[in-house]
Amino acid sequence: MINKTILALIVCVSTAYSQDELAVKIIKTVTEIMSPENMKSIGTQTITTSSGKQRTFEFESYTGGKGESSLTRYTKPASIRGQAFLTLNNANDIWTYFPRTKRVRKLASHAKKQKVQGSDFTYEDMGGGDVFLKKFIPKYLGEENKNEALCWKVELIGIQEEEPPYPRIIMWARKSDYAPVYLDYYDESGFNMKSLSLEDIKDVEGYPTAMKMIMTDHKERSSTSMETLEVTYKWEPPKDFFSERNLQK
Amino acid sequence: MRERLIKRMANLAVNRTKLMIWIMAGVTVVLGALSGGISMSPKWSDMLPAGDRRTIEFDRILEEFQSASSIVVVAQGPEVEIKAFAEDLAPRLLKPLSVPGKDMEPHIYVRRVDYKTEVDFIKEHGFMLMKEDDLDNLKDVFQDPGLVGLLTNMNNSFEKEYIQPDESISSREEEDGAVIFLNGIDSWLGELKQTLAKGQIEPSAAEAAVDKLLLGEPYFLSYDHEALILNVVPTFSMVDTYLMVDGTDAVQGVVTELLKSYPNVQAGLTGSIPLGRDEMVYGTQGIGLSMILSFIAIGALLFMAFKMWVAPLLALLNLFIGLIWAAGLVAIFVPVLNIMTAMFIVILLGLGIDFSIHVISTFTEMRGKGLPLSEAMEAGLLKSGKGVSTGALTTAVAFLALMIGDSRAMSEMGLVTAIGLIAVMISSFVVLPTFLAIREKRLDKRLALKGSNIQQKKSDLTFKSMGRAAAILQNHPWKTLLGLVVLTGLFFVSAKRISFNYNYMDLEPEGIPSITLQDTVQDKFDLSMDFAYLVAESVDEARELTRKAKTLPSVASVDDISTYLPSLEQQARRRPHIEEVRKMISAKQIKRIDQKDLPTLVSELERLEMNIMEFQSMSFLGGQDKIFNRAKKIVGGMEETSANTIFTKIYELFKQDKAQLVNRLNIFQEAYADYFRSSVLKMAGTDTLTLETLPESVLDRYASRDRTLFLTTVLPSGNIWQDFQFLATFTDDLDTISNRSTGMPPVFRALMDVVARDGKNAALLTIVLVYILLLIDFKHFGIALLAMLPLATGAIWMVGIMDLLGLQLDVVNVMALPLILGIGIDDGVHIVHRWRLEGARSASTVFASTGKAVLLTSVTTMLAFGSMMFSAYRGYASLSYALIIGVGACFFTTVILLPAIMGIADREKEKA
Repeated sequence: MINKTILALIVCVSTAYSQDELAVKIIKTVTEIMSPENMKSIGTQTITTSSGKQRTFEFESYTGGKGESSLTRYTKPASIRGQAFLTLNNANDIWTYFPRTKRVRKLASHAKKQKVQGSDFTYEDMGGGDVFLKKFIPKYLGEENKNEALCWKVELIGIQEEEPPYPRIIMWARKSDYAPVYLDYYDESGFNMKSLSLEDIKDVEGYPTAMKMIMTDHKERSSTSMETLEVTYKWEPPKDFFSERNLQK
Repeated sequence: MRERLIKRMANLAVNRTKLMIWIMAGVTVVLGALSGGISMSPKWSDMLPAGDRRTIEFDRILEEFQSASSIVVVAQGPEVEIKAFAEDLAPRLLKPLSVPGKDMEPHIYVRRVDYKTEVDFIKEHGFMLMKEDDLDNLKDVFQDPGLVGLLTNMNNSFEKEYIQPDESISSREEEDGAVIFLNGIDSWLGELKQTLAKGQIEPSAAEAAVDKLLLGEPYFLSYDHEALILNVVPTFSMVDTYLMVDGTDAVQGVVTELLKSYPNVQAGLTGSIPLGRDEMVYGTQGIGLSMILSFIAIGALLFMAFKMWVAPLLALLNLFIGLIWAAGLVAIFVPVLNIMTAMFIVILLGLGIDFSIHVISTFTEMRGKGLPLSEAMEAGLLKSGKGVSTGALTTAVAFLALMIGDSRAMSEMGLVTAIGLIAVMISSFVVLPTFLAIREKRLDKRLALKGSNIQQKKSDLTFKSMGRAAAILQNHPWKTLLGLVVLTGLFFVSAKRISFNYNYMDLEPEGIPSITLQDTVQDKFDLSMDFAYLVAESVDEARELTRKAKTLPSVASVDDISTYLPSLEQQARRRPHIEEVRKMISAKQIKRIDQKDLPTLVSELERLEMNIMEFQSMSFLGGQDKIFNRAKKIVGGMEETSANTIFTKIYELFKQDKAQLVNRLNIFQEAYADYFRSSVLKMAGTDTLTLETLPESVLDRYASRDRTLFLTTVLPSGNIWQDFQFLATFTDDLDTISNRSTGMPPVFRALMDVVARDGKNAALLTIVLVYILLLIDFKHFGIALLAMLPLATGAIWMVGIMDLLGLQLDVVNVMALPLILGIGIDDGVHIVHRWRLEGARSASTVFASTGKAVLLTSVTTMLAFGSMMFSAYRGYASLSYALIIGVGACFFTTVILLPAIMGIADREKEKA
């Protein structure tokens, strides 16, 4: 009887251990495929204005250093053509350029938790890097079908000292290629404040790339859709590309 | 027993006619007088169970809080004119008012008119009412009243605010704050421009500009400044039904009269009181005329069917008396009708006429066979009486089954219609035979006077063609049944698809001001008028409820007394910031402007312009339309390179002679700076705010009459009518913070739940009770079931046809489903009764005679229900469509299904 109990305990402990290992492995792989060294893309972003109208912007986006730096420049509509945002140090420093006044202004560092131009994404959501690995402890929750794919389901519990962007995230990543297809973001009270759906995932130069991302804010009852029109990872940023000077070009 | 009673009635009608007339007249006078006591309540909460927490709370709020019953005057037009209109209107409303078209003594209907913010209170405690973060951000603006200093500090503050824009202006509350700030700057720049152009400024204009900068817009203006709201607090509440109508009409009268002096202004009334008034007035407005039309149409139909003018006249007269009896009895049991029960007369009109038709139909049939009056009366009443009494009792029992429900909408409807139906049935057995006897006696007398031995010409009034059609169906029963099953299957598929329209606004009258102005208020002020209420028993509880409500996902904004009464802790935290402002501005000397200040001034003006442009760009990207539109008015559109803005005009004015420019700048500075300083010092009061220090107008708005309860108003973040899921989320969210939430959204949601539950229970009970009654009547399981079959099939057809016609179920017409169970059963009962009387192979006779009556009753019922179709209140119209379809469907299933089953039964009998 005692032997059986010990055996059961060993099985439980080893299963738990292996599941934690699996969770770390999943998140590592997800981080790898989500953080290409560099990226250049053209996309659109559709927001809902405070009077309920839909507004679509087109932009060029550049990221470097596995998402550590990024530059987004709006191209459409004409009224905001040239307005650009530069984020450095994983969105810790954010700069913006206004072509109409020709001024570059720095946003405060804590702006990274704030929404990007009326969308439901925060600057931090847009940043890449190894935030999932550094600021969260992953926990394997099993397999589940999500967005029409068999997925790993992993819970990410924020490490308080690391100031995680969210206290808790649940992620579904495709078993076939580790591409994340869905993320639920929770606040301190356990409320599922936002959900990100990654759709129309295509293999682009070896990276599974979501051509459409929909972020839904359950509190504000709003959603923002971002679509990628063109993308390449075979782009090398010129020297000083991610700089205040380049922001104004 | 029933037979004995019927024979007795026939005997009394023929042989004791005068006595019967006196009895009828007495009963009619008494019940007619009683019916005058019926009143109507337009409150939706009156349809919920009497003990429902939302009903109790809503009634308590209406009773305790003056602000819960309001008349909102919405004025639209040029800003200057709508402000003047408001100033002119407010004092007029406070006087004793006459009701247009009514010869009454003028009466005071209005307690207060709110059309400006609490300016005096904010002037004295403005900083204490500001959030600590805002104080910290904005305090620099208040430290230097001098022109250069003020512009510089304004820019610094702008850029400081701009540094963290999203959090601070993401919510509606914060967006509004930014708009107020831009409005203040716009107004202040406007006065600067005027002074630079004219070299003078009125002190009042400078003071108004400073007030706008420091306090914001005093009037309740829309974002585009083209609409203004006056909140008229009446001396009565929604509970006072008659005052509600008179008070609204009196206020409308003053508004209409005043509008003659303001040709560019348009104004109308909305809010809970005008809406309630309109629901009452417009709800019944179309019905009166269309009921008369229905009477005429029913009369014409009966004339054609019976080929004599007196039959319809007697039928309608009997119905009229029956309705008076019904109203009198209803007044005893349910003296206050709600939105649903108010329709009982129309329903009785539709059903009550049927009794007359059956009685007249069989009576004329008997007379047609040449029977003398007393025999014809007895035989006729015996033939129709069983069907009429069974039908009426079955329908009444079906209606009474509605009383199983908790909701007053359903239970009172059941009681009222059941009582009314019994009253009309009794009148059909008492009044109608008496009238028929009088008429026949007069005819006989006239013929006798003429000395003629010839009997009246008695024509055959049966519908032979209907009988022939039934005989064909009877002869091909299986084919008929197959066709019916296929058709019913199709309708069943369609019925399952029918959707439910939760939008309460779709039930309201279309195009009336109280409704359309709600949309105007929503569009222009971004303000929903469908808010929920929470009641607190202390200011601290109200503050806590507000704090919790603001965290709810479904809540847009919350308004309560804590806006004017921060907690002692909040006041303590704000006090050091306020003292800092006081210290800074007291120490600051106002320097005269000289020529060397001009470059700095221009530079700061340009910086301000750029800040507003950048604010505009960010708001465009951020989708904050109100900020964007306001900024556009100051700095022009984002693509305009040489816009004619206030800044370009000021820059142009800076090109004038430098000495003159400096002089004019000093005139402007002198005009506003001292007032600015004194205003800031006044706003920087640090006295502790308590309930006792609040002005009466604030207390009236948020506190109960005895100041012991406090009202919190919660606005939903989405459209509760177009998205039922959101309505459910909103009310569920509110329930998590208080079990006493009420107001239109919780009441309506509760009503949906209760009506759905009650409807289901009532329908099941109705089916069981009706079957038991039919079992007692027919004393045969199969026959009782047979009488119910057309109804069951008809109910499926009804919903299926509704879906095919693109109709939806709603909270009003859903009542048609349990109602049709009571109404539709009669057709089958009458036919089965006659069939049992006539025996085998009798479809032709049954349908030519009773079928004719069933057809006539169905058409007359549809005509009567059709009168609701023209009601301005669309809820009644939707019920009308559903009932008409239901009655029609039950008729067709009766005349198709029963001959076929009769055919099969006859064949089986013949085989046996």
